[in-house]
Amino acid sequence: AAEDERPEDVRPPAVLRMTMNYLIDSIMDDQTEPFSEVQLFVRDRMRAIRKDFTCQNVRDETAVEVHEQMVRFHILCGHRLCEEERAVFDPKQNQEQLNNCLTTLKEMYADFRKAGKASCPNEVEFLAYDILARVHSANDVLHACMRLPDDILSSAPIRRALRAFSLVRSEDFSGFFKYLREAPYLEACTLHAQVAPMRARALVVLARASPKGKVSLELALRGTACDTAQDIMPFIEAYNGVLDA
Amino acid sequence: MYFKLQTLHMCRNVITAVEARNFPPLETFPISQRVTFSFFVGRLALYKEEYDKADERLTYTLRNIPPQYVKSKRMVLESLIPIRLLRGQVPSETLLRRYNLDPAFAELTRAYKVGNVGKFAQILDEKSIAFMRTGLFLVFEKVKSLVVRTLFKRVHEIRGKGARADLGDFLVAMKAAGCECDMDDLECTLANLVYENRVKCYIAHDKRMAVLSKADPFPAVRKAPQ
Repeated sequence: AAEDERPEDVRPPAVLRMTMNYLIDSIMDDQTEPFSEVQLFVRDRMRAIRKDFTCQNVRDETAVEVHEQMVRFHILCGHRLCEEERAVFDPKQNQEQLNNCLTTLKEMYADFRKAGKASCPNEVEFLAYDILARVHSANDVLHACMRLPDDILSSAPIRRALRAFSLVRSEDFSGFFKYLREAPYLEACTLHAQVAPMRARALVVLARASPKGKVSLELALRGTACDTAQDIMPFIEAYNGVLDA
Repeated sequence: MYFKLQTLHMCRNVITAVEARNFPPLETFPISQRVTFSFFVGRLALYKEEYDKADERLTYTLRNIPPQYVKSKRMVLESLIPIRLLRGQVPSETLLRRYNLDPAFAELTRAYKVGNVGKFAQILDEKSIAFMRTGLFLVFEKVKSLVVRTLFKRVHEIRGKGARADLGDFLVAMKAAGCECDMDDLECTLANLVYENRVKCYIAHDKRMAVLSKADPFPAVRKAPQ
């Protein structure tokens, strides 16, 4: 709904920066409330911050920095709250907002490059998240990569992202879980959506290559990188008869 | 033009228009234009991983380029070679030399022929940016699993083609081929090959053995995966 924004209500970049800092320093780590509550509060405040940036058409270093922090927060939430009820945490909405932030960020990065200004220090970190978030779609990844200059494509975070892409493409579940274990935290969070499909693939593939088409629990746990029988149960139930009881 | 702009999805509109029924038959256009069009249709099919279609279109393109246009032929070959590798068709060294292909193609081909997994992966890694830009990244990634298949086949042959294979042998071979992997990785790779019908065997994980099919455990690579 289009509210009547009075000019004096719109916060200038410096204030938006302070607001974001406040959210990060004082709110996000609040242990007195469940994180899901914290997330709701922060999410709404961040949306308001984005709105203020947009209506002033501010796309400077401050905007970049704040948007980067928002993306990191959304990535974190996507993983930390993944087991919550839809009413408490909606992963789709979170993803949407993540994508919005990321899109704006990419535009800002491009603007900076075009204007010949020094590139933003964290650019490759976020371009990597962008690739990781699309790792299931070859088209999307290639599309994202095609426009990137060589120096970015050869940076460490992008190379890592492309390696993750490679692992997902070749259904290398063993390599994928090893990769996850060693990846920087937020990069691993971004790949969260791939874990379940990889586990399913591991079970199906291992079973198919086993005598009688069944796997032992030990093998299933190893292949799917599940810690306990409880973790693996949903997959076992989905693939009836794959477990050698 | 759309390729240069990197907006490939726009190509579809042009192609649809040309392939529509009310468009004049292709034969009425000069062969040079048909060949160019064919080339781009083939390249687009490659991006979309429609390998059969890409092969057909690119082969047509190659056949219809007069012999003196070496550079054009080279451009087509760059895309066609990896597609043919998926079918187990290896370009000869003569061919690679005649059209002055990037040395990487020769090295990849050599690695492919002997199952040198580590070398293949290394070259792919070095060339990853270039291949990304020319749309060859995905198809060479697919070829990688065939290189592993070839390596395993050689191990099988060296061991006298017995019905049982020690997974330890495969692991040694992978390491010798410059591939860093452990038993978990090996079982994963082999299981995936079985799933894709590239190898016919059962894996007895606890015994670290593979029980190979008596008839044709390493079926010839003929059909490209879609």
